Amino acid sequence: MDFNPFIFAGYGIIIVFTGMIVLAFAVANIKRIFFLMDKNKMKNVFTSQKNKQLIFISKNKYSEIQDAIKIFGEENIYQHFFLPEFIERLISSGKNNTYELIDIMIKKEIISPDGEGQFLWNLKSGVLKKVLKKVLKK
Amino acid sequence: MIRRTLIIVNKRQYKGQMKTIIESFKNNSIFDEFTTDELWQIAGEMRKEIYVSGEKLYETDMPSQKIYILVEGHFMIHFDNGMAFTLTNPGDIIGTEPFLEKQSYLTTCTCLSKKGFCGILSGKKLFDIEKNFPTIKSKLNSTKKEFLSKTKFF
Repeated sequence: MDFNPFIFAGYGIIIVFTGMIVLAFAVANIKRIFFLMDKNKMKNVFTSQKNKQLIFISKNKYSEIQDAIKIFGEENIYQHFFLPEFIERLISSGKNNTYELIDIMIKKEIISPDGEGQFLWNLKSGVLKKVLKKVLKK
Repeated sequence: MIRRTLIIVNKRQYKGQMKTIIESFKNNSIFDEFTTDELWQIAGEMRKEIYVSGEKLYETDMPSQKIYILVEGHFMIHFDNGMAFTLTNPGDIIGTEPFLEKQSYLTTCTCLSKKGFCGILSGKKLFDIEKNFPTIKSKLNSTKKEFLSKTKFF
C-alpha cells in the first residue's frame, strides 16, 4: 500500500489552519453574528422586554433610588405625580445625576407613565420592592 | 448653551451616521411611504447633535424653528402644568410645533439619558426640501394628519 506521510501531514495542516481561520473569522464578526440573531431568530432575547433587564443597577444606584423615595415620601407612594416636579425636588435636595437616575427608573419600570401625563411608582417592580423593604426596615 | 454638533471626520463615518438616522426613520410609520432616496435627502439636510442628561433641547415659548428626530437616547417632554411624557423610540418626532404652524414651542424637552442623539431639521431646510422635491412635499402633506395624531398632547 502506498503510504506517504507528507500527504497526511499536509491534510492535517490544512484542516487545522482552516479551523483556525474559521474560528478567527467568527470571533472577529461576533457582533455581526449577534446582530443577525437579533434580527431573525433571537429577536425576543434582545428586544425591549429584555433590554430593561440588561440595565445594570449598581449598589450606589439602589441607595440613590432609596433616597429618591425618601424625598418623595414613602407614604405617598400610591399617588400619581408630576415627573418635572419630582425632578425639581430631587435637584433642590442636592442630588447629582438626577436626570440619569430618572432615566434608569423609567427604563427599569420603577416608575411608569399613567397615560394621562402623570407618573406612578410601579409597585410590581422587583427593584422597587427591594428598595421599599430597606426603606421600611429603617 | 453649548451645542455639540457631530463632526464628521470621514466619508465612512458620515455614511454610518446617515444609515443610523435612516434606520430610525424606518421605525416611524409616518415615513413608510417615503423611498430610501427621499429619506436620504431628508437625512442629508439634517444637523446631527448630541445632548447630555439634563440638557434642554428647547423650552416653552421659544420660537419654534426646528423639528427633532430621535435617533438615540431618552427624552422628556413636559408642559408648564406639569404633565409629561418620555420618548425613547428611534424615529420619534420631538418638537412638532413648526409642523403645526405654531410660532413658539408649547412644551419643554429635556434629555434624560447620559447621551442623546437627534437629527435636527430646521423650518427653513424643510421649506427648501418641499420646494425642491414636490414628491416629498406631497407625501409630507398627505401624512400630516397621521403626523398630528402621533403628537401626544394632553
